[in-house]
Amino acid sequence: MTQRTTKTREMLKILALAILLPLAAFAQDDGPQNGSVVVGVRALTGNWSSSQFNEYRDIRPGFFIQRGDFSLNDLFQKKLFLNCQTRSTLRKDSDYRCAVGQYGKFRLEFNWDDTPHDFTNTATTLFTESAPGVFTIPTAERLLLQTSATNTPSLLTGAQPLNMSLARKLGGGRFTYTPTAHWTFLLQYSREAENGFRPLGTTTNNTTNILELPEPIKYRTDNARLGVEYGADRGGFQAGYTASIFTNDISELVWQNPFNTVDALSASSQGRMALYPDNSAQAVDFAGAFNLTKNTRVMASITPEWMRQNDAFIPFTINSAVTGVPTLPATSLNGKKQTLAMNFTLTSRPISNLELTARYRSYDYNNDTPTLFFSNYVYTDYKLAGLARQSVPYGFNSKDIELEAAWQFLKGQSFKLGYQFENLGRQHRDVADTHENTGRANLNLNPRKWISLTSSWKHADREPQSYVLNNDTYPQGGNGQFPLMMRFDEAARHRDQGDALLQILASERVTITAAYSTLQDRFPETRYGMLNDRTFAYNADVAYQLNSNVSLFANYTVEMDRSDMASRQRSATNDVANNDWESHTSDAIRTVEGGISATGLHEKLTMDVFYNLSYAKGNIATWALGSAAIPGFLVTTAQNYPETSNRINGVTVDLRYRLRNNVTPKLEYRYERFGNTDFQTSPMMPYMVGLDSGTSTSLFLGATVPSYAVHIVSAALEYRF
Amino acid sequence: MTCMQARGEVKYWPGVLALALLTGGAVPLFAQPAQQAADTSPYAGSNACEECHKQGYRKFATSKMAKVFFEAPRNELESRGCEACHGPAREHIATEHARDAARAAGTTYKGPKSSEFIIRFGKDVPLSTEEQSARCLQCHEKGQRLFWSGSQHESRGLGCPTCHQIHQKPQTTMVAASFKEPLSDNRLFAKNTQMEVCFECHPMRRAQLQRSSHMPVREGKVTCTNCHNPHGSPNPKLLITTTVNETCYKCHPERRGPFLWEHPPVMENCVNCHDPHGSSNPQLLKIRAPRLCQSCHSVSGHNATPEPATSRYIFNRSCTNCHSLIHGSNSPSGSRFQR
Repeated sequence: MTQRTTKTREMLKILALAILLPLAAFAQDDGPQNGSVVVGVRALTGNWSSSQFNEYRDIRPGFFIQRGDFSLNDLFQKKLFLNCQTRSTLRKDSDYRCAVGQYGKFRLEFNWDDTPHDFTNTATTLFTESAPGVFTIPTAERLLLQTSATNTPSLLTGAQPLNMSLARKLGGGRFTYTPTAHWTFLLQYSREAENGFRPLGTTTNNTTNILELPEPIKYRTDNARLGVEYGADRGGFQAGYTASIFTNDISELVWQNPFNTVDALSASSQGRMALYPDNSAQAVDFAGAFNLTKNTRVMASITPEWMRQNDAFIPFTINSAVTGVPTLPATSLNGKKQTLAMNFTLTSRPISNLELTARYRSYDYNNDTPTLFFSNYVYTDYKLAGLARQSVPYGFNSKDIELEAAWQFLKGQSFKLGYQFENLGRQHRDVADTHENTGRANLNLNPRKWISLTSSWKHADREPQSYVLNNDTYPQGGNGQFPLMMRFDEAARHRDQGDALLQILASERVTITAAYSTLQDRFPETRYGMLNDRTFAYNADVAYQLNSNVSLFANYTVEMDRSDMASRQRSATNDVANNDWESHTSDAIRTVEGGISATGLHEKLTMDVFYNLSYAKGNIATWALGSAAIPGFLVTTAQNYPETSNRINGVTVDLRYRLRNNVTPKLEYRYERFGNTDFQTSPMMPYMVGLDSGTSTSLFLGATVPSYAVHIVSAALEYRF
Repeated sequence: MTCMQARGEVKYWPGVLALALLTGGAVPLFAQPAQQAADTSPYAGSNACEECHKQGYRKFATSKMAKVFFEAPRNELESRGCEACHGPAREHIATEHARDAARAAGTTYKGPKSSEFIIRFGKDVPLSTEEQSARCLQCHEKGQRLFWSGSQHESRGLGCPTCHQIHQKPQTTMVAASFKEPLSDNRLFAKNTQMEVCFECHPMRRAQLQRSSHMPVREGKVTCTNCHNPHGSPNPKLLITTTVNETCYKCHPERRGPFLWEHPPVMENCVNCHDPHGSSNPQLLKIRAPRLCQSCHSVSGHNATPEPATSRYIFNRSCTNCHSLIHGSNSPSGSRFQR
């Protein structure tokens, strides 16, 4: 059915519904209301099949149940209740929730949640999934491709479109029992299934055959929790046990190399990679709080967690022509991690307007996974790498001490000072020990009833105790890491963070809000790598009540993200400062919203008009720091990347007329538009040789992020019963 | 009003008797036989509240709290109904009656206002936010509120009435402008939705959530409290779980590992690379690849080369065109996250 036919048909349905349903509803009586339902029909025009339009939702033409709910009380005259809710019923993004129970005694709740995730609707491929996780191409086509890459474009005309989307389905139940006001017991279970495909990059034979494939997803996660809580006047405690078991039904991905039908050294006919392994996590949690005195409270929480993973390893390679492959040091990882989070807080009000708080937090991430030594390995099913690799159990522990004093000098006005010290220890990384000192202040002012200001500032200095390039993973070398490059998550850092929020009630009718926030990281000792990373955001918001029937609002936000980095282009024999280069990244995002809400006809008619725009532009500028005149100059490809931009905007006009107390017909028009220009994704096609001649034996999915412009008209009826 | 009064220890009731006698009004409440036994109590009972506050009472009566208070109280406090939160009302009622009597007698009432004898909630009331919250915490200082004291919001002067209301209709927000929210039966917010409440003080988040790369927040599948506990948490950033990563694993457990080959910044903190509140870069990345990767990685070869935009190392997903298992690999040949 064409979209035009659909449009006409749906328009007729809308008209019919708009006329008939309100008339039918006249027959209903007003009375006690136990629930409501909103049903309607919808028509769409434009490219509403775009994956971006449907990214996390399901908006189709035709009949829809927007939402529904009902509540029943005093069931069987036993003070039992039942309430149920639904939204987007029978759609791919539907939600259902039902609870039964006795107020103050017990509650049994069930929920079901469908969440789609569409990645792209432009993907095509020559591959077919012949078995779960196995992607093949008919031998005849492979032979043609092997004969000459020039056959590729014609063969790709027969590429099949792919549904690159995931569907999450989450179902669960929760039972709480409260025998007394002090005690609560909890039992909870949920299962989430995630199925579908998402784009995944693979490479075979070094980078000779970059083959983008649909990654098959068949995940299942079971979560369970048992808990108990006791609460009394002077304090309480909570204890619980949580288990989470993740299962991936497809543990490996195997694909044929379209450009090679016979295994050879450095020319594999297949590729194989391990997909996410099954894993489990179990945790026990304890939390408690106790009022030592009327004004002093101590709080603590202790949460140990155990994570396990022991899926069988796949072999080094699927390429039968690679010989001399070593024996695996183990058949599986026997991965074990144990974390321990402990928090202790003491808060006290020695006098009524002064609050003092001390916190201690310790988090241990102990990785007990055994170290495995691989005397050699096979690189991208290509050939033996000729170097050993060693898996190392990365771990870390952090200890934080925090002191705070909050002084409320007048009602609603306060000043807070805080200090925090963190000691972060890491295993098998470039920095073994880091100290960070943080000072912060908050000021809340409310000098008049009509004005308030809240503000905060934080300054933090992070100092790695030493920075030594760690090569534990590379016992025989081969890291190749530039020794002067500092990883930004470990490097010395000065951080400034601030925000301010000013709220003004300019008159009975006008409210003005202005906000500012910034986060600025500078890495003072870093010559290469991330040099700085800064974000700034400004916001203004105005709400105006014109009269009792009309109100307007508008807000405008500007956000800017900027960062600078430096690096050096090197070769094995050329490692000089003349090949240094720098890059500046900047993103600017403007968000505008505005609307009018009006009521009339004795408050029976409501009209909302709303406009929204989020417009982002991104730039990456790169330049060489050295001179081309000096021999050995390598940085010839430093260039500014084309500007990226994306724009999401829309207009909504929503009309609601309260026909009776329990009947409200609605008419809504929406226009949604998404525009995207991205040098990385916009040019994507299955065959990219026109852009990069090095991809003549590579295939992609042609997965773009398509723009769209869609008009949506819907008529609905809200009925309360 | 003092803190002691806020905790329900109002001791004004002898004054009520004097006031009633002085005004010469026969306080009907005192005359009711059913109330005789309670004469010495400062509490008047919820029915007395309904007489004057019909609308608020009706709204409250539909709430879960009212169902427990009125139909299945589990302790003495809950059995007090309205007065569990608003404090003893007898003097408040007596004052009102005294005023009515004065009006009926054609005289001017010169006594104290009845509002002085009842605990009220909101912005323009005598009680401080902390004292108002103390009323709620009589019952609610458990569950998610166990760590309220000294928490970020509490110490910055916020209290329960800042975000919640019991009797009033929430401030309406334009339907089209509201973000959808997960289904819930918690409707006691000061605004239409929970997110609107949070955006009141965090307007940047509202803008950020509208960026092109986002979690399904505006679609109503995730909301602020799926990750944060605004009532106080012992964890950083008011997170409901012990770390950022634990929070992410709730929806992405496949990334939990342990893996044979781990990528340390991934294992340590997801927000090293991602911004969960929204980004204009793909995959919620803070900085677009390859620059994100290059801020740590510079080896000889393509990593250290500022490749042109038309290069296979740049277009599509850049570095992860090949290093696609960047969150961890379990393959013996996966030390470069390609297998």
